[in-house]
Amino acid sequence: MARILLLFGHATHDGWRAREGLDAGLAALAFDHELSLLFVGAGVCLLRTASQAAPGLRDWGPSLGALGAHGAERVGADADALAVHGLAGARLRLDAIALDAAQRSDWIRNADVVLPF
Amino acid sequence: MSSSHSERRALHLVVRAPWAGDALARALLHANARDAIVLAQEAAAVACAQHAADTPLRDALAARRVHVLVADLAARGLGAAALHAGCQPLDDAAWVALAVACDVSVTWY
Repeated sequence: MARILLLFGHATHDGWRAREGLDAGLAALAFDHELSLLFVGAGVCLLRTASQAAPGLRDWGPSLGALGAHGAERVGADADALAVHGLAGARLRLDAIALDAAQRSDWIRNADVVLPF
Repeated sequence: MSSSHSERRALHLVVRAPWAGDALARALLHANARDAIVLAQEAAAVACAQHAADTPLRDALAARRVHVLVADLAARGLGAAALHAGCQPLDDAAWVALAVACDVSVTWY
C-alpha cells in the first residue's frame, strides 16, 4: 500500500485538472492506497464553498468531497494561500489543516508518490 | 522506503517558465537544501545567466541544488556555457541517477 499525495495547485477554472485529480484519487482509494490531499497556491480555491464554475467548465470542487467520504486520510492546505484568497478561518469544502511551507514540504517528502494536478 | 523521514529527499521537476506561471516559485518554496530541483522544458531557459539575472528568483536558485537538462537547453538554442552559477547541467544519464537517488519526485507546472 503506497502513500499517495494528490497535489492540487490550480483553481477549478484552470482546465480539467481537478477532475483528473478526483479520478486519480478515487482509483487510489479503490486499490486501498493511503491517500492524502494537499492544496497549494491557487489550488486552495477548490476548497471554497461558493460555486466558482467558469463558462464551459464545471466546478469540480464539490466532487472532491467524495475523496474524504471514501477514505482520504489527510487533507492539508497552504496557509499562506488561504489568507491570500480570503479563506483563512473560512468554512471549507473539506476539513483541511492549514500548513506552513515546512509542513507542506514534509508532506511531499514523506509521500511515496506525488501526483500534481 | 529505507530512508527515515528526516533523511528523505525530494526531486522537484519544474517544467514551466517563471514568466508563464508560478511553478518555479512554488518548487523553491517547498524544496529544502537537501532536495534537488531540475529545470526542464520551458523552465530550462531560466537557468541561463541572462534570464536568471532578470528574475527575483536568482538568489533562491543560488542557495539550492538546481540542475537543468542540457537536452532542453539545446532544443531551445541555449548552451550550457551560459548557465547561471547556481545551476548544474544534467544529461539524461545523470538525470536518471538523480531520480534514483531521490525518494520521491514532484512535478510543478
